[in-house]
This record gives sequence, structure tokens and C-alpha cells, in this order.
Amino acid sequence: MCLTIRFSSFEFTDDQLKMLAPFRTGNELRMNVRSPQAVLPIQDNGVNHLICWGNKTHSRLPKTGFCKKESLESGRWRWLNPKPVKILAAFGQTNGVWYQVREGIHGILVYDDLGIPHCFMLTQPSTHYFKTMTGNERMPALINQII
Amino acid sequence: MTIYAHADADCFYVSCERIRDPRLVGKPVGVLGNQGACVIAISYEMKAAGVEVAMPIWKAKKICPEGIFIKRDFRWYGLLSHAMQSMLSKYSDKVEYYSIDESFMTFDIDFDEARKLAPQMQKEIYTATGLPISIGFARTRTLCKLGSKRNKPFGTLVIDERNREAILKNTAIHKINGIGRQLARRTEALGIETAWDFMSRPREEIKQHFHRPGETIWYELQGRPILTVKPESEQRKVVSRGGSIWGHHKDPSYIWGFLVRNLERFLTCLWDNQIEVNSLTTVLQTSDGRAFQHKIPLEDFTSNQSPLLHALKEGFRHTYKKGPSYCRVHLVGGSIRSANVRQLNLFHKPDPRSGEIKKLKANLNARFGLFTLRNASTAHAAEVFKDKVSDFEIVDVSGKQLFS
Repeated sequence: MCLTIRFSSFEFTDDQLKMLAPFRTGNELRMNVRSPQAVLPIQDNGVNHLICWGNKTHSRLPKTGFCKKESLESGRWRWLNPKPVKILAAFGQTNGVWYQVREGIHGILVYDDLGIPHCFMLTQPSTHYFKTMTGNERMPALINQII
Repeated sequence: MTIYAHADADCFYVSCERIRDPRLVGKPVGVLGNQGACVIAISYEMKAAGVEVAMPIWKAKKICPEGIFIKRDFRWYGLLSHAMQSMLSKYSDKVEYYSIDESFMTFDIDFDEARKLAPQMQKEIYTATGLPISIGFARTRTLCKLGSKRNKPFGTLVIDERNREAILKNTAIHKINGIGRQLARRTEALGIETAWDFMSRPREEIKQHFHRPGETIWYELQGRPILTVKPESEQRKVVSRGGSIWGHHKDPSYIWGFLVRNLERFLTCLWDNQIEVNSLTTVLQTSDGRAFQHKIPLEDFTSNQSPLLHALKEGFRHTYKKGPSYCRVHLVGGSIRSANVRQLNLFHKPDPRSGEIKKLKANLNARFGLFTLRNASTAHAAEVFKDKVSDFEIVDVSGKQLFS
């Protein structure tokens, strides 16, 4: 599981980033799913947004930051009307190992009862290489990239 | 005057990755090997943190928690290596493509000209390819390699009679190319610490303790060239393909699928180099370290799939035993000869179809990637073919002297 990501501040306006100063080092932001303020940098219809990473509220949404690709494909998320988005991560971290994210990570955008958007990172079973590299059974669903 | 030059790309794999992803510049970067378990190349930033080449990733991530680890892509490294090689060929007619990131050359110039040429070459190669390289010039191959190593990264050094003594007095003997771990132990016992100590000893003493290789290094350090630059690859004695089968497996179908995958790579090597083999040895290595092997002599020299597949099947039948799990497979082809010097034989009837199939397959795979058209038996290991990056290994980078 990819618990932390790094992304470039250049993709966002100062206005969008003003609440995220504690997560910023130079031109990079670092976000951990466990942080109460965790957001994901996403691109939706060519526009960049910072959206809550998963669900940490008491809404009906699943209480996680991740969505298994298999469960999405089997239709378990259909009731939430998920919309595919691109997570603009530059690097991801799993079990203390940082790796390069070339184009981004697949994510889904859903809305809670109050109409607040939440983004869940898609995950898939690890490839042999990723499993050896990180020791983890699952990996993020990378866009046009196999690790 | 003939002088030797050695061009060595700085942290080559990392530099290649930085060319296509500038976000990696300035960050500690490690490139991982075929299985993703070991670091095979590191940036200077990661080296400064204490990570070493061949370190397992679990250790490297602890030593350098900010390090970014990247999966190797030998196809990309091969392309840039060839680009660097073709740039070097513009400066010298005699270039030896030694390894994926190193080349030796000779020049008919003097040392003053070499001092001007080295930074010019560096700059032009960097502009054309994006690769930072270090260059050494000297009277011998051993000394110029020492020169390129000495001022890394992006350094140049010309070793001539004026600075040779000072440099050799400052160079530990084990830093000299050709002084391996075993020879270094012997130098230690003889109280030889520096390269200067080594070359100051009488030749007879060096020959007595270090035999011919030591004597060669002794001459080379004196500035007397013994080792030459070889632009053409030497005729290989064996061709081998193989490696890990991605985990530990007992299923004979899967192992067979992997063997055939390696036969495909083996055939590509034979075709690219226009060579034929007369025997095929199949090797299976178990997870507990045992190895089973069987050699099949072939009826004639060949580079055709059909007889080699048949020999592989026979080899597998003899080597595979039920029970243990296996982790590595290898194919070794022996008794090599050129495919272009076939002796006429009244009884030899070449099958025209096999030549056409071979040509079609080679063309298709060259155009659309290795394994685009492949033997159906590889379907048993279908999972492996999903990752195109893993298709191409360092041995598949053509033309170089090492690991070819």
C-alpha cells in the first residue's frame, strides 16, 4: 500500500497550497494518508484539485484511503458513482521504500452525503518485482507504468 | 604518439533515468536489479548517505530513507550507451565498446592536445546525449582508466610523465584495474600499499608473485603499453541466457515456459551475432542451491529454433526432478562458430522455410519488441511477459565486450 506520496507544488496555485504549508519542503509536498488533513493532488478534466484523501469522517463512505481495483471492477463502489481521476504523484512510498511515479496513479472521486469530494487511490495486487522491492502484497495502480 | 583514453559515464544508470525524469536530479537515487532486491547503481547523493552497490534494498532504505529506488530498464540504458558510443566514434577510429558505460580509445596526439580534447569531448557528449562522463588520457590502458576514475564525477585527467609518480604514490594498489581481491591480499602480504610501490618492485619479483597478469600491470604502470584497444569483439566461446524464474516454483509447465523464454533470447543472440552452436546445456537450480545440468550435443551447428527446442526438451527431461522447488534456469550453447563460414556438405539440406520464419520473426521482434512473436510454450509463464521492461536484460545490449 502506498501510504505517502510526494508531488510538485508547481501544479497548484498559491491559493490552493496556503493551507498545506506544514507539508511543504521547497517545491515539493509530502502527504501521508494517516494525516487528518491528507489531500491528494488530482487532475479531473484537465483541472488540478487538492481533494481529501479517502474518508476520515462519519459519512457512509468506506473508512479508508484506498480502493481495490478488483472491488471497483466487481461493482462494489457503483452506488457511489465513482469517477476516474489521475493522482498527480511524483513519488510514492510503501514500507519505507520510495519509488518513482512516472505519469500518475489511478484514483476515483466520490462525493459524501454533504457533497464533499473524496479521492481514493486505486490499488492492485503487487507484481513480483514490487513485492520483492517493498515486501508489500498490494501496490498503487500506476498509470502506464509497471514496477 | 599513441595515447590511450578511457571514457566512463558517471553513475550511468542513474544518469539515464535522470535524462527522462529530471525530477530525480539532485535526489539520492538507486537503481534496482532484475528482481528488485538489490541496488545495482547509485547516485553520488545516495553514495554520500552510505549506500553501496549490491546492497540489499532493506538495508539501503534504512541507511538512506529519502532514497528513491527505480526499476532497471536495460533497453533504455542500451539506447543511451549506443548513443554515447557513436559520439566517441567521431573522435577516434579505434574505439573499444568495453561495457555499457565504458569505452577505451586510442589517439595519435600529444598530451597537450589531449588536455584540450578531453573537456571538449565531455561537453559535446553531454550536450548530445545528456550523459555526464569522466575521461582519462595516458600512455597505457591501465593508466587512462585510473585517470578517468580519479576525478569523478564529470572530471578529466591526463596522466603524463610529469604527474604519474605523484598520482601513483597517491593511489592504493587495489584501486588499479586488474588487481582483484586475491591479488590485493598478496600485495598486502608483500608490504605493497600504493601503485607506485608495486611498479617500483623488480619485475622478476612481481612476476614471481603475481604471474603474467601482475607483470602486465607492472609494465602498464611504467607507461609501457601492453594491453591494446580491441574495436572488434572477440569470438565468444559460449552463449548463455538465463537467470531467476521470478520466485520459487515447482510447476514443470511454468519452469518449461521460462526455459523457452530464455531460448527465445538465446536465439536472438545467435541471430544478431550470426553464430551457430553445436551443443546445448540445460541447467536448473533448486531453491536450496543444488544444480542439475544436462548437455545435449547437436547433429550439426545450428541457430534454428527447431533442433534447439528439441535439445532443450531433452535437457529439461533429464534435469527436472519432482519434489524440489526451482529458482533459476540457464541455457548454455557451446562449440560456437560463425554462421557465415559453413562448410559445403553433400548431405546437408537446409530447410528454406526455417530461414524465412527466422527472418520474419527477427524483423517483427526488432520492430515491435522482443517476444512479440514467440513460442506458444511460453504461455505457461504468461505473467512474465506483461512487463516489457523485464524482457530486455544487460546481456541483450549488443556490441559490448563485457556481459555480452
